[in-house]
Amino acid sequence: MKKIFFSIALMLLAGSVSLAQQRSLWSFNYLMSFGVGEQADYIGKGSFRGFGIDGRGFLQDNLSIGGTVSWEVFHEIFRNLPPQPFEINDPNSTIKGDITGVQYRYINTIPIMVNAHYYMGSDGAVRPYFGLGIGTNYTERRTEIGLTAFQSNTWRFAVQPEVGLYIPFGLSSTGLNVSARFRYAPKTSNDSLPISFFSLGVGFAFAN
Amino acid sequence: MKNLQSLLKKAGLIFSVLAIGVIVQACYPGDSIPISDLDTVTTLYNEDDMANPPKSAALIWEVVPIVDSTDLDNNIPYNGEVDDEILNTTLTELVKLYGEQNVYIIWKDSTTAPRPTPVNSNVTIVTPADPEPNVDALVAPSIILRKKTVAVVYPGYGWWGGWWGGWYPGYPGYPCYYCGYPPTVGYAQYEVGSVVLDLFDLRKLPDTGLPSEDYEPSWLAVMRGLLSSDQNFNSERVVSGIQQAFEQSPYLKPNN
Repeated sequence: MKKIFFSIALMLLAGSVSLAQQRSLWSFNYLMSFGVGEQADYIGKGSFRGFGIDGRGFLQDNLSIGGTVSWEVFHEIFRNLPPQPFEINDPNSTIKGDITGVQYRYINTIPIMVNAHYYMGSDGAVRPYFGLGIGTNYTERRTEIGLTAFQSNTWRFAVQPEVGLYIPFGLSSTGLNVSARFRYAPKTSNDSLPISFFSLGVGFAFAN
Repeated sequence: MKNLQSLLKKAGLIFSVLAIGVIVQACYPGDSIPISDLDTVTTLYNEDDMANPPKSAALIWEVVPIVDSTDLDNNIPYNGEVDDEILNTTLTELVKLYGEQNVYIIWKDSTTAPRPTPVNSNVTIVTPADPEPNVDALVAPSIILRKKTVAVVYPGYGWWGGWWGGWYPGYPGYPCYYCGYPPTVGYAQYEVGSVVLDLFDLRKLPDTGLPSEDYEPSWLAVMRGLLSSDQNFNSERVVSGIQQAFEQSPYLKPNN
């Protein structure tokens, strides 16, 4: 028993020493995102225009805190939609209208978040991790019909759980980062559409 | 090994810069937009009129060009290339709505003679010399040819009275009853090339005296920007735009 305890303690100590060398981890990721729920009703097509930067500092060998910024662009063209009804405010009468046209829909999201991650494995090896980000999500939603555009710009509270893998290239301080995220940002008074989507990220990571 | 690390770092940085560059260009993808994707069909109506929609109509057989008469360079060239499509499609849709016996063509003999398609060849054609047809509504087509519209434009201005004024009950023979009272259409700006259909409810006109200045169409359809350099393409878009206008408006089909 003592031997086992000693072995574990030695392994942990060795891990601390090696991870102490890894003080920060920066990653630059290409993101592919797929809306779910009400967001998917608005734009069902996946986004293949996304990019994110992640910076993390290690508090312990298996725990980091940091921040993330990214940009995802969702876009879909809708043809053959039913007419969209609208109303014109007129003090003397109610003017109603309907408009038909091809709709170009866009969502641009830019989250700014702090995050914390927990890592498994040891320095120099493949390191699975999971974490959570909390912060704000700037959302620009735009619907274009012909030359008319309806747009809302909102800042919202957002959370983003994440799992991933850091895969070092041999003994170098460079590696591959692969992650899967889910972001949720509830609706606001200015926009009734909640933001909710999964992202798959792949990119280069640099450890120091 | 150090060379490999350096190479990998450089590759990562290059990848990152390229990715940023791509996404900076990607805020609103879709720059190459087909012109037909910009077409819109907008219809407007007054909710108060829903209770008593018209049951018959007369179509003015002329597409009135809305031009900038003070600056001719401000107009796009147009020589009636899609007039037939505008008039015949509108006529067909009116016949579908009200039936052949409740639709009239109004023709002023100084303009091109009506050429209704064979399917509508039984629609009655009347001129100002004929007795006034007893119809609920008057439909007036126009097309916007001026490139810049900086104020409200009046598709009816100048010709509206010339067409209908002579028939107006109580003022027989009055030469230009509405010349000073163009019906406003409530649109501050039109896109050049737009086709506009105004439907005026003649039952709303007073029995005697002048109508109020805010006499407006009961129904308005704007088919945005239907002119391009391709004539066949224009024809298709005009036909489908007018069909859509009649299809989409609850005012014309209150029971649907």
